[in-house]
Amino acid sequence: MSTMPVPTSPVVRVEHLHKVYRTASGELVHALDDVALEVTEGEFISVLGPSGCGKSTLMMIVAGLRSSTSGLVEVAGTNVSGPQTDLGIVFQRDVLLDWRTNLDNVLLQTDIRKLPRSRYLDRARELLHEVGLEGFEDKHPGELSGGMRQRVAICRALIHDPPLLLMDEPFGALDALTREDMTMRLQTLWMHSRKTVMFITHSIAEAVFLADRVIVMTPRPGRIDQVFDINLERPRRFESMSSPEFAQIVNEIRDLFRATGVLATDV
Amino acid sequence: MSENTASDRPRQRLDLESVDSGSSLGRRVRSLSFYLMPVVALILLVLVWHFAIIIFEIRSFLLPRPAGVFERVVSERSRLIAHAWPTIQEILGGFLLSVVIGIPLAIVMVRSTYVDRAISPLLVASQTVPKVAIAPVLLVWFGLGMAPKVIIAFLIAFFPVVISTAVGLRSVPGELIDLATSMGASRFQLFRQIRFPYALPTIFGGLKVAITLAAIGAIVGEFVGADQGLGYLIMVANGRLDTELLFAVVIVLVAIGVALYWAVELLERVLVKWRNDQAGSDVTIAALG
Repeated sequence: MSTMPVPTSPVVRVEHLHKVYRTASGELVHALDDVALEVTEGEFISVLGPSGCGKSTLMMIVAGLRSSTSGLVEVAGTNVSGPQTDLGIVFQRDVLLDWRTNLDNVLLQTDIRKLPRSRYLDRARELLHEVGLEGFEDKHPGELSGGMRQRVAICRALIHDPPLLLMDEPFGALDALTREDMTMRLQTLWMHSRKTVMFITHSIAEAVFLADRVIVMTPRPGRIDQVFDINLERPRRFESMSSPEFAQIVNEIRDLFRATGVLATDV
Repeated sequence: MSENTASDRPRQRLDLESVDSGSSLGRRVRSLSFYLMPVVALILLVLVWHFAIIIFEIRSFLLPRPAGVFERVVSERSRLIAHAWPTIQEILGGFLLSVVIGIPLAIVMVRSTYVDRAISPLLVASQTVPKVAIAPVLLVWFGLGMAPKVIIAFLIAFFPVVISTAVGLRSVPGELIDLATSMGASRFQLFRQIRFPYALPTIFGGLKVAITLAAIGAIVGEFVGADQGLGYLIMVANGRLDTELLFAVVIVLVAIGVALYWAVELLERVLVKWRNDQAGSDVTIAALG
């Protein structure tokens, strides 16, 4: 029996968000300028923009880890006024703890939340298995490659089953091949869990490939330039990247970046 | 989702023994020679010492023969042990005091910018004061017993402990703090689960410097005024131009220093099993240089 979709309040709601901060040298930086954004449940959105456009700052404000200068930020219908705990975060650096095994790194999340290990042990093993790391549970992160470490970090962000997953250029430090591999893995993982994901990236192809919606930002001060709905069929394959629809969206985004001067126009 | 791509294999630990393609005997000889290297170097040094005396006809009150020194170590062993014991106590006392005071001090400094601002200049100033110069005053204050020696050992040793602990605690990546905060970590959890273990390899770098400095501090204290201890024995030997005994004491002192250093290193291996970087040794080198 299927139920009618019930209109719910968005998981993330951002309105008129401004962020101005002062650098160590006393310079005022307008990082975010009147940003508005809504992410509905189960949606995968990519926030795409050049370095320094404030996309990471936007994510950190949503997480409640940085303050905003003005504007409204809501997660799950409640106003964000301090660090949000009902979410999972993956950074560009995996920041795994070298003294914990990979399994214990995943369980750091539940340890700090004081959730019973017995209840999450199986789930942690299952997650590691799902990202292709079975047999590495009792190894230490020092024995893993960069891509494998980042997979452990993703498991750590998912173990407590958060309704919202924030990813800040999670594949930014990986080599091109590993990056492709991780992109596929993330899609599979997302299709299994259907979590709400906010994915920060500066790779056009990555953003389009993964997302339901791509939010393109301008260079500083970061503003939302345009939003693209990506209606490509899932699961998407690398072959989809050479499809005309894919190419068209990528080209439109390139044009936007040319218009804002992120990409050069005369080459 | 279950297989790993070629570019994604686990990083192999560099293992010289498995890289070596030689026979198992060859491998064993090689790993044995690895452990024998310090002994070989020591024997060579003693040989150079021995033959230099013969070739350059150095008189024994200037530089005694190694054999004579070792004879004295054996024949005077009960006296050496009797004097070594208080010195070991002073070294350990000074070292433990530097740990017990240095680590919490660093924790407070890292937590509070105000405390840091207030204490840092005093710390640096305290290090520029020559300990030999204040040793007599400490003797006047605390008497001829062990106390002034322990305090001097502490004063020399605690600086690297404070610095390395502060450096280690500050080296925690901001993302890790943000991540733990998003997990709802309390300040204590943040410290206990993340900051402190993260800093531990760096702290041990400081502890290794501290234990050797504590040995120097204890001897400095004994030089200024003592009626027992290896420093006192050196003064006695010096007064009598008994160079052989002086060297015998120095050898015992070196042995104690090395043994204590190894003890700290052993503790590090037990507590910092995971370490595969060289953060600690870098600090050691930086602090010594």
